[in-house]
Amino acid sequence: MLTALLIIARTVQIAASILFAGIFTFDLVMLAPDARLGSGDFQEIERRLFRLAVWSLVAALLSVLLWFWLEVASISQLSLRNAFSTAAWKTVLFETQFGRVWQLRLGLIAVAFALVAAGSVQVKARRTVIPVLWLLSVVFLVSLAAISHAGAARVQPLGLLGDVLHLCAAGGWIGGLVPLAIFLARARASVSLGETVIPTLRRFSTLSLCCASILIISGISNSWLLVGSFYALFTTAYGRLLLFKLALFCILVGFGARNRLAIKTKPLKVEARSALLPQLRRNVICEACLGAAVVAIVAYLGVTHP
Amino acid sequence: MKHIVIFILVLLAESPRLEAHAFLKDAIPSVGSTVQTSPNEVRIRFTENVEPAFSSIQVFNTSGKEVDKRDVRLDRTDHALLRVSLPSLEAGIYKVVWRVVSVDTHVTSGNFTFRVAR
Repeated sequence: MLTALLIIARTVQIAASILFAGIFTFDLVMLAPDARLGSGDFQEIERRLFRLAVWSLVAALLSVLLWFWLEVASISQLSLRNAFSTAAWKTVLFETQFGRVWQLRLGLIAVAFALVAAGSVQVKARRTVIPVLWLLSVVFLVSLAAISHAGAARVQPLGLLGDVLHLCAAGGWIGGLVPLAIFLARARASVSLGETVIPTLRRFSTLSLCCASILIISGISNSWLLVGSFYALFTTAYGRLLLFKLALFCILVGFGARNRLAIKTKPLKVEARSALLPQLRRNVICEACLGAAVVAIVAYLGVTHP
Repeated sequence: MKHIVIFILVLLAESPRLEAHAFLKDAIPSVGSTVQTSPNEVRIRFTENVEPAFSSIQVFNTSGKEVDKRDVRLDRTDHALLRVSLPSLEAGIYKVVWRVVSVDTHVTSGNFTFRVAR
């Protein structure tokens, strides 16, 4: 029961962190270069992205609290009901590395809420707020590495570095899929966005390619450090979960490659584009669902002994 | 690029495997050992850094009475080394029971015995 709830809390927390980082990476890298064109549509997309950021922060806050509650019960060997009836939660919050990371994450959520609210209300403030939010979202995302398997290691900077890179790459690619689906939905209905659709898609495709390469390298590195041998990959629960994650990742890369091919080979005329966009949007939604499944496996791996 | 790949491969080849959960790596007195004189303390080194607030070592004599000084502490420089002081022990077999929480919040526990010959 406790483990199942912990996996759910971890899944929501990791997914919300990746999405939050992905939203502002997408805004900064994909939208900003063309924001001066078709400003009405871009403002509408940014408004939707800010609304999505609010929901991701709500999910992050709820799962931060749930995860903390479950960890207090687990570490102090108390029942869920009694976890807050003693001083155990204070000890966890102030005297453990997990607690210190949670203090940081709660602080970042509070600041992020204020900045997102400011950006949602004042359109002119967005250009200043977005880079700050992007930086904050990256710190929020990589702070998860401090409580990962690699973070617990005594002398292992490579494992921690691998985790940080893995999270950043996931934020850039997987986290950007929902914002991309929002962009494609708007682009389909908009005439003024027509000129910028293909350049934006190409920028996303290039970023995804870089992120997928980093995910592969850091994934191999961390798998080697945690699993240790090919034999363990097939004989342990951790290894089999990792193989399942790898299989889903390969399908994800397949979807990404298909999209990249479509953008590169299809003609850029208006008629062709109107047929291409719904197809791309469907692929992107499928990719996002697969990404969510991968995150759930990562959450499961987090409570499994390598 | 070639140098970066070689650098990563060398690091991977020389890196010990991560345990991810804190398990007993070595102990003084050693697991199952016989010591000639009463030790001043029990020291257990774990495979990962541990959280002192939720980690414990208890030493029991054969009649099940706790004999340690209940002052479990983490080593100042090595956060994977947990220590507890002992009074002067009589000859006999002692059971060490440990429970630790690693930095990634995983709980592990175990026990071992040692014998004082004197």
